[in-house]
Amino acid sequence: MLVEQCLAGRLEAFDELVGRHQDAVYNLLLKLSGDHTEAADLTQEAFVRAYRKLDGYDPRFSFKNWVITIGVNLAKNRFRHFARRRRIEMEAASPTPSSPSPPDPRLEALEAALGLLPEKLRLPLLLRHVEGCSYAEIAQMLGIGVSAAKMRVMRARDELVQEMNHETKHV
Amino acid sequence: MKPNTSDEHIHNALDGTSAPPPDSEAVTILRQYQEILTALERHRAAAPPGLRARILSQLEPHPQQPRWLPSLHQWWISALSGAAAMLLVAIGWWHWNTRTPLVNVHFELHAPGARQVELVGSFNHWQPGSIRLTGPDASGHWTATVALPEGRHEYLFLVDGQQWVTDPSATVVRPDGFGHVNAIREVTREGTML
Repeated sequence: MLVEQCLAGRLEAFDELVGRHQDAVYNLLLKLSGDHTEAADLTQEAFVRAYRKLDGYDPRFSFKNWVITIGVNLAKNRFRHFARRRRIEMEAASPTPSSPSPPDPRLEALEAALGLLPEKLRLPLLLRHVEGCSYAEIAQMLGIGVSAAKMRVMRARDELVQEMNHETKHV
Repeated sequence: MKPNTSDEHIHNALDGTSAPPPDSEAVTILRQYQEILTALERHRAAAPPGLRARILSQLEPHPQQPRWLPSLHQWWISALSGAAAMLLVAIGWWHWNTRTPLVNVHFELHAPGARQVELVGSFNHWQPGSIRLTGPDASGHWTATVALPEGRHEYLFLVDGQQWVTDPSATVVRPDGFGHVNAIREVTREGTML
């Protein structure tokens, strides 16, 4: 197991873990934060923290989900900043160098709609539909009940679709 | 078309736990949901180039491999390194024996119907299979005595290889963030405190 090899001092084993999971962690944190630079910084910090407390990793659970949980907790500490940045970007209605707009207007509308969801709903939705987590895994990662996880995903889907309809009408 | 937000059939169909709704309007709404969620799933961004290297640069360097056959002009470096290593080992051995003695800690669980009970915790890197309790005795108790270093240890019992059980005798516990509650045992030189 790669984690055991890391604990035995093999840094290249951790390099392998980073290579396997960095895209998933980065992609989720990008959708959560809406900012490429912030997502890269959070991904880096999440892996570094995971490495430093690797002996506390519980192998009953997925390593990828563990790193994502660390990254999400780091992101939550910066959410006020994220929310402010999102509003600024939307009000300015112009792409920033660190956040190039997608070429497809429908994807642009999707990202805008996603950004309008409250974090409480956006995060379970991303874990479910981007990472493919089960409701039990979402509940574990967020420290909530399984029924609450399911309810949040349902509400998030409803609000996302409504926002998309609203966005589409105004494009 | 405005989606019917209270329609659980739509969500159950999205989760694959029920068949698609029978009426055509609901099917249209379901397709709208599926289209948006599929776009969300497929629109993936890869980590930027160089991120992996940035992460690795933040970690402690990989320890150097020992040089078993040093070149002649480096023999004195190897000799000094060897002597320093021996000194460190001796200091470590002395420190271990004088500062961190192992303490025998008793664990017990009442599980009369269990076929197997294991002790899994921070002291064995949460790896099942290394510490099995003995039992059950006539009263249904499983027991194990484990030599642990001083310090704070978190643990759970694993019953029949699948059920995680918090030690009911633990006076200090902590949620592990994954839906379980770990028991905590504080081990001191005089024995266990908690």
